[in-house]
Formats: sequence, C-alpha cells, structure tokens
Amino acid sequence: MTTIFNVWDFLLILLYAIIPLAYIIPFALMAVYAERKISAWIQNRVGPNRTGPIGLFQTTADILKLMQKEDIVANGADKKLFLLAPIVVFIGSYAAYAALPFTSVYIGTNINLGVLYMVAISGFVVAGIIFAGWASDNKYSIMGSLRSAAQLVSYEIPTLFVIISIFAITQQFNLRELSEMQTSNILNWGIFGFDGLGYKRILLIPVLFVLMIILFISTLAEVNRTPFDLPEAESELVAGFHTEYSGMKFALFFLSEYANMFAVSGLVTAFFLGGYQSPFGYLGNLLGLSWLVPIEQVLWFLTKGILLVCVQIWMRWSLPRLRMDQLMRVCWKYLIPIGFVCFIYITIVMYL
Amino acid sequence: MSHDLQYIVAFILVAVLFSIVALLTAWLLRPNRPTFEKLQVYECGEETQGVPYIKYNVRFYVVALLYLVFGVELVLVIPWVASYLEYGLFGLILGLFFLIILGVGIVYEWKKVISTGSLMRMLL
Repeated sequence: MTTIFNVWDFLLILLYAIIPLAYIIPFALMAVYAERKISAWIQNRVGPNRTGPIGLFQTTADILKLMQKEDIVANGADKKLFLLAPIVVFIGSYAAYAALPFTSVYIGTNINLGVLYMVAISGFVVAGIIFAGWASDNKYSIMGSLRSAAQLVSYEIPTLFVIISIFAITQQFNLRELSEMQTSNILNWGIFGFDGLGYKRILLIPVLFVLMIILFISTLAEVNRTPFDLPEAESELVAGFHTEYSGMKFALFFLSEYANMFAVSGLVTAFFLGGYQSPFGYLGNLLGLSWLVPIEQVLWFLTKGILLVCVQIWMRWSLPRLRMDQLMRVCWKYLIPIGFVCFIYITIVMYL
Repeated sequence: MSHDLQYIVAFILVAVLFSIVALLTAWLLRPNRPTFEKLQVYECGEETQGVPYIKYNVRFYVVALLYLVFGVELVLVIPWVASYLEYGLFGLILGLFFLIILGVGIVYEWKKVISTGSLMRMLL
C-alpha cells in the first residue's frame, strides 16, 4: 500500500473492465435475434428472415434504426432525471459483471463479498426504473415503476435466503472460490452437493434442488421477464416504465435487460451448475497445454449461461403473465416460507 | 497497487462512458423536429387529464416495510451463519431461537397480510 492512486494503473484497470462490454453487446444482439426466432418457432411462424442470411443482422439493423430516431421528451417530463434513468439502469446491470467469474483467470474483481455485491449493485436497476417512471410524467410509467419496485424488493428476499443457505454450506461469498469448490466432475456441482461434504451431501441434494428452482424463479422476477413482467405489461400499461422512451435511451433499457438476463443466469450457474467448471476433465490438462484451460472455462461458462437464457426465453413464450396479487402471493406465500425452511434444515444438517 | 474498489469504480465508469458515447452518437445522427403533438404524454388519443403524481396506496409502503423487516433479519443472520459451528450446540440453538422468532413473523405475515388478500388486490 505505497501509493494511493496511480493514473496509469487505473487506465489499465479501465481496459480490464471493458472486456465484458465486448461480450455483452454481441450477446444482446444475438439474444434479441434468438428470442424472436425462438418465439417464431414456438408460435409456428417464420420470424425475422430478410436482413442478412436467415435474418441474422435484424437486431443490428434495429439498433442502427434506433440511433437515427428522434428523441422525444414530453413537455411535463423531468428532463434531467429522464436522461439519467437509462444510464443508472445500465450501470446497475453492467457493474454486476464485475463479480461474475468468467474463468479462473478473468474475473472483474475477486472481492470476497462477490455475491452480496451483485445483489447490492442490482439495486441500481430498481432506482433507475423508479427514476424513469417518475420522470416520465405518465400515469402508465409511474404505475409500472411502482409495481416494479414492489416486485424487485419482494423477490430479493428469496434470493437472499438461497444465498445464505449456500453460505451456510460453503462459508463462501466469493464467486470464484464457489466455482473452485465445484471442480473436477459433474458430481461436485452445487446441485449435487459441494465437494468434500461426505455423507451430508445425500441429505442436502433434495434441498439444493429446491433452492435452485427458487433462485431461478426469483432472479427471473428480478430481471422483469415474463411471467413476471408486470412492470411492462403491454396489455395493461402501454409499455410500463419505458412508455415515454424512444431512440437510443430505449435501446439502453433494452441492452441492460438482456445484460441482466445473462448476469442472473451466471449467478445461478456459479451457485449450482459448476460455474466455469467443465462437467468432466479439461482437454488442456489432458494435452498438457495449460493455456487451453481458461479458454475452455470461458466456453463452459458461456454455454451454461446461454442455455439458462434460452430457458428464460422458452418460459417467456410458454407461460401467461401473472396478475399482480398472484405475483406477490407466489413470493410471500410460497418462495419465502420454502426458502426459510430449507435454510433452517441446512443449518441443522451442517451442524450434524 | 490496485484495490478491489478501483475495479468496481472502473466498471461503473465504463458503463457511464459507454452510455454517454451511445447517447452522443445518437444525438449527432438523429433529427430534431418537435411539434406540439409530439411533445404530449403518450397516454391515449384524448388530452391528458390530471397529473400522475398522486398519493400512493399505503399498501406499497406495507410491502416496503415487510422487505425491511426480512432484509434486516437476514443481515443479522449472516454473521451467525459464518460462526455458529464454532460454538457447538449452544450456538445452533441460540440461532434457531432467533430464526423461530423470524418464522413467527412469517406466519403472522401470511395470516394477516397475504391471506386476507386485501393487500394484494389493492396493488393491481
């Protein structure tokens, strides 16, 4: 701790922090395309097929179109907050990537409280959505943002129950260490109990499965995806909190929604599906090429995350939207008591 | 010497810079021809009546209070989870006592707030 702040070091750190952005933007473009294609297949339609081969450049063209669109700010709107809201939402979803373990080599910050950091920084998204609704001067927007606040705040509690249950098992908030605990083969993944627990794993496996379902549902609700997309329910509120947004500001909301989808999938992966670990050994270790291992780890992490994103898309186009009271009832009546019982069970099992 | 916090600040800075660059590019490209009708709030075809800044239903605050209760209790539980194995059976029972009180809270919340349905119906 000789120097407090070095500008050149900080520039290097900035370069280091840009790396996830180089992943998020292509991912968001392809995820929007995949969403439209998958929804087309589910509904027996063709989907986008004109722009580029099999419509691959459709979303790129959409972004280019959005950039040229006139930016309309309504007369009654609070102009500063209106501009600030998409930026704050994007900060919340991008800063969450700082704790996501892409490989054992690359992780934004290897902080010990990585999980809690992710939950905390996601609070930015709630703040940004409330900003957007409040600044829009639109009744639909403000209803959407109020609902969104109630929903995100409620669904944080089951998430926290799952997080402290995993903490009780592993004594670890660090996402890289959590992934390291699930190493070597598929039976050491979180969903099958962690490595080195012995006979307790048999007692834990059913509970861990329940916890994984709870975490998946509550994170699905936290990123405002169908069946929990009450904040932007098209049939009741025109488009919820982003009714008034147009052009690039709308594109930023869209980008951060898809970035968030991958971030929460990464969280579920790091907890239960082995993080960046391969389900069997690594080719790099077999061939004695140590530089190959991190590349394989990235591929495994992205594969698992993208598969979970595909499950989210699949659920979006299969399930109808819940009503607001049903939504709150799912959280407070089912997820929280079940998570609570699982947590107590796990603390007792870990004592045995 | 790089601190963890510097990385987090760097991530936030990258997010801010990216959104500013994106918005600036769009600002350079887009036309700007506002008319009176365009600047109206997008609600319906009619002229807008009233302001949206109404009094919120008190039930939203009830949800916030419930969140506060559970959030604070979970935060209090975390240090216990980190250390209860060191204190043996005494530590376990002490923590479970606390958790049982939290469980009574859940039962109360279930009976009073959720099951009556009035809270949730008003959130529509």
